[in-house]
Amino acid sequence: MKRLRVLMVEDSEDDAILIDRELRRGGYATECRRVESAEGLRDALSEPWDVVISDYAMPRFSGTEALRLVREGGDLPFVLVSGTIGEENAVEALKNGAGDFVTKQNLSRLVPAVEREIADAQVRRERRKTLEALQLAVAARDQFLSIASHELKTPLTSLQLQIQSLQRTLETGLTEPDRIRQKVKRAARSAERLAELVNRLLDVSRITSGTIDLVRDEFDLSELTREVAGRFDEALRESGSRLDIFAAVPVRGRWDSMRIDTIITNLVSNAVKYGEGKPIEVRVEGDRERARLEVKDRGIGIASSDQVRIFERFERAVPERHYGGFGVGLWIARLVAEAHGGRIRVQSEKGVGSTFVLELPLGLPAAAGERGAWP
Amino acid sequence: MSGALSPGASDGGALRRSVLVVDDDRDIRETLQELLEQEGYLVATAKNGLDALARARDERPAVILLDLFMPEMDGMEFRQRQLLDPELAPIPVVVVSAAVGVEERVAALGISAHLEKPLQLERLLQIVAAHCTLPS
Repeated sequence: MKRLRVLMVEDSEDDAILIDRELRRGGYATECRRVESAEGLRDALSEPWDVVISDYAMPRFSGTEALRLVREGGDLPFVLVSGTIGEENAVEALKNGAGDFVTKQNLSRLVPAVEREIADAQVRRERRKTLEALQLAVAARDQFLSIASHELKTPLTSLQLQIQSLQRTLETGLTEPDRIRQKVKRAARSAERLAELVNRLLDVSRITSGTIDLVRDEFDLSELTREVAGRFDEALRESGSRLDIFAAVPVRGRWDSMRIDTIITNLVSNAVKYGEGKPIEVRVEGDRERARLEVKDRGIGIASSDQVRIFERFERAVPERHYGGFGVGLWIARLVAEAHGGRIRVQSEKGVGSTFVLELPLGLPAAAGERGAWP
Repeated sequence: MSGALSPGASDGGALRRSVLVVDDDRDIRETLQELLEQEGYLVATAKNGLDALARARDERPAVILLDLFMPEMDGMEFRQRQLLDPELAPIPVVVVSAAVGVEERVAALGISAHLEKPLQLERLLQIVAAHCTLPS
């Protein structure tokens, strides 16, 4: 017998017994509660119910009012059962969201009506869930687009200013080669930044729309890490942070070098960005099964409540847009780490700093073999 | 507090041809600085709102070009603090930003112009020139 929690809005105890009997005959183990006033209904609605079966006309209450109260709390299956309901009232009730109505003279319709209304409500719930998920996805995409356009406009502005300024310089006829060289150099750098941003945007859309195809090669993670860190000389000078690299021993494995490069770049760039000019440490270690990369800063840190969220798409712990970037770096890092059978995690304390740790199975044929994700 | 005035500040002309560029992007900061210097302006730069408050006190620029989204202190907060400081409050501000959908918030800042990135150089120079030749 299927359990059915029934909330009856019914002034007549006898009618309630009839209704209950009908449901039991239909194969349900009912748990009923009967209320006959607004207060009673309000109180009962705090408990979970499978269905509300309501009378239409009651001395102290009405089916219409009951329906309104039930709908305030959500989409609970609702069936009217009445001896007196006229056709017009019934139509009105259905319009207002009652699932069905059954006359007391024809209670054999009750079980199918209840079953159909419960199934319908389930469909409505799923539809609402789908709709909510879609709305969230659209909102996330809109937010991402506005961040992306802001991020793209910054190097574009610089590029455009350089070109306009070159034009002005050339028009004046005062063509000092050094000055022009400087402007062209900066324009080229802006164009590179733009290209890099566009590549990352493409990566986001590729990753969003499918799986990650890894292109594995054997290489030394220590060497790659030193190379990536070398690209931050200028950024480090500007931020004031010192970067210490502990990656002297080769750690070889088969990984997707471009994607691992992206992860290291992202972690170091975050450390510089949020490191408040304090020292940063990057460490690479390995054993026979896995490689471990650690990036440690002593900057603003991440509250424990944000430490899971930052690995999701379009998330960052700091206020929107005060720091550059798409807000997708750690999300991509996590997906890429997982595609390698590895993982990435963070230990952090607000105001003390953050340590990001990337762990990757070596993926070498000689090793214990490809391992699944860590527990 | 009375920040040090730049050399030649007693000469109204020199004082009025100075610009403070506030942007967290180094390329944009340097490009604008170079461009404006080429046009004969005295240029100071700042990389966030906090930095800009100090520079504005030191330099007393004729106009401030202000980016909106910057770490540590953004352009909106800078403007609010600027208005609370009687000595800085009169300096006109031109918002230069790539942010979308911020028109209302920018309008509430009571600034003299809002330029969207990417920038039209001619338009920027016109606006800067207009602020630097206003009668004091």
